[in-house]
Amino acid sequence: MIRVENLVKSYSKGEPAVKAVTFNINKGEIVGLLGPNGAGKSTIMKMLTGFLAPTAGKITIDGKDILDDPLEIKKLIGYMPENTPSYGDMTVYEYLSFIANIRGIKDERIEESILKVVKITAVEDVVTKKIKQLSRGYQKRIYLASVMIHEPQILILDEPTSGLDPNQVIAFRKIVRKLSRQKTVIISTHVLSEIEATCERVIIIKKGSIVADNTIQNLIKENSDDEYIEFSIEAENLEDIELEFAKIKEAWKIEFTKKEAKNKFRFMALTRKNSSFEEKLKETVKNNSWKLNNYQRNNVNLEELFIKYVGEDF
Amino acid sequence: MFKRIYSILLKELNSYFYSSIAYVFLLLFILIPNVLFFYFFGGIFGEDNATMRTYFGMLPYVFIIFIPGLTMGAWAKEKNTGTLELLLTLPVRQSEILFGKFIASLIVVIIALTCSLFIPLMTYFFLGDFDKGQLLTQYFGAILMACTYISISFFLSSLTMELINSFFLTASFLLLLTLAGYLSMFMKFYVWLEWLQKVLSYIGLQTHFANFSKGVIDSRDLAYYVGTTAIFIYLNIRTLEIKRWS
Repeated sequence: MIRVENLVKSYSKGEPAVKAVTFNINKGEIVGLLGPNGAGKSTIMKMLTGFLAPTAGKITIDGKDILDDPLEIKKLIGYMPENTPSYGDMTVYEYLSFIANIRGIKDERIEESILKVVKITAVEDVVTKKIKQLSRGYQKRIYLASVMIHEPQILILDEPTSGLDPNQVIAFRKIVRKLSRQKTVIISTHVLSEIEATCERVIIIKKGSIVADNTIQNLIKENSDDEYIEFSIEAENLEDIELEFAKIKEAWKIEFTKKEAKNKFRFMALTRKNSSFEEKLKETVKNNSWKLNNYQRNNVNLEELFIKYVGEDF
Repeated sequence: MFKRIYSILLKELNSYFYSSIAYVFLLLFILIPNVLFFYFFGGIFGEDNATMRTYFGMLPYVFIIFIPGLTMGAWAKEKNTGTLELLLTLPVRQSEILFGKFIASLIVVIIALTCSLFIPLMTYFFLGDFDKGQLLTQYFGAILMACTYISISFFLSSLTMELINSFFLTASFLLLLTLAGYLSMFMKFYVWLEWLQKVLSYIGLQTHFANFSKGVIDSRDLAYYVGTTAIFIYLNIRTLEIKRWS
């Protein structure tokens, strides 16, 4: 359904925001674009929706090139940008009516379409209120209602739950999950729980390039040889430990996680199961006259996988 | 296509009239030209006959401030609130968005002109018989001139995408074009510089309004206003497209 080939976006200054990105998304898939802030997720979405033109590469949706037939492609898409901009002076009904008219919905069907989407997004109680008077959660739901009004085949949601409180996040995810049964959904986020809660497949992006593209289960399976280790060190100060740990090359990453007590520091490390990390760690501890406690080995989960792929930027 | 332009047009009018922009614009537009007309230029009593030439003669100068004030938010506001992204990802052409916005601004100017004419017109109705043909020509010319000012303002607003910068840049540019015409009318040029006088006269915004304000429609003036409007509308569409690629 969506085919992206060698997509590049360069701005006037600095290195390209998106570097030769290629992926396909099939009809009915729910795909998460995951990466740290500035990785290029939003830029990819803006190109998919026709807001930005690619510097190089090709986007085809339903077999049509986005540059050849932008109007037809925009009809297939419902796009929700991160900051959900809307016309605050309008009432919810006026705004949805404006979008319905632009989307070419016939006059006699506009009211019916509005009633349908306000019901799905549970905003019936505020349809006569001005958008600027509503909470962030309501504004997001109204925007979601507006992107669904023309019953698009593809939903593109950029950081859909940012700025929402936990209850609003739960409500929002419920709506998205319901919608995803009939539509292709692309969600961009840097929140792992977002991906775990809603997506089947994840595309991890780092500095404008794809570093992983698979289902969550396959990614974990692919990385079953990796392990995630937690341990505590008793030492005089944290800086000395970090200096020594920087010399250990048997782990991809060793990170201080919390201070458990005075002179007691908790760490996590990502490494291969058969690596000599444990021996190297013990040797370092011994040479520096520190104490090693609570050494725990775990299988990697999604969170550690992302740290592995995205590194310290995440 | 017309439904989309109409939707944008309604949204823009909504935006003008929900906020205070349109009301402030209308109030000032009615007050300032009328005060100038009646108190500084003698108004109806300063003329020998029932004509509004003086009143219309002020318009090219009044528009220098009023049109940029009205249109400075055309693109800047959309960009600042993020709604430009919303608009440009909807199945609507950039030209359709532009025409919707353009017509909405023109409607506000026409309302302002109509309201503003009310006082002098009423006075003439009671005091004398005025030339309806001349008045219609003046009105037609004022609308054409407003189209040119609006198209220039929209184009410059799309370049800066900033409210205040847009206002000052547009007002300065319009002032420059007006000064060019002013110089061509009132300065004496050496014979070898007559070509410059012609150029300045041709690009001057108000020089082409002089005939309309006398009640004369000259095809060269018509071509100037229509042509300039078309050029700046085209440049505005190109600017939006270039920004998408940059």
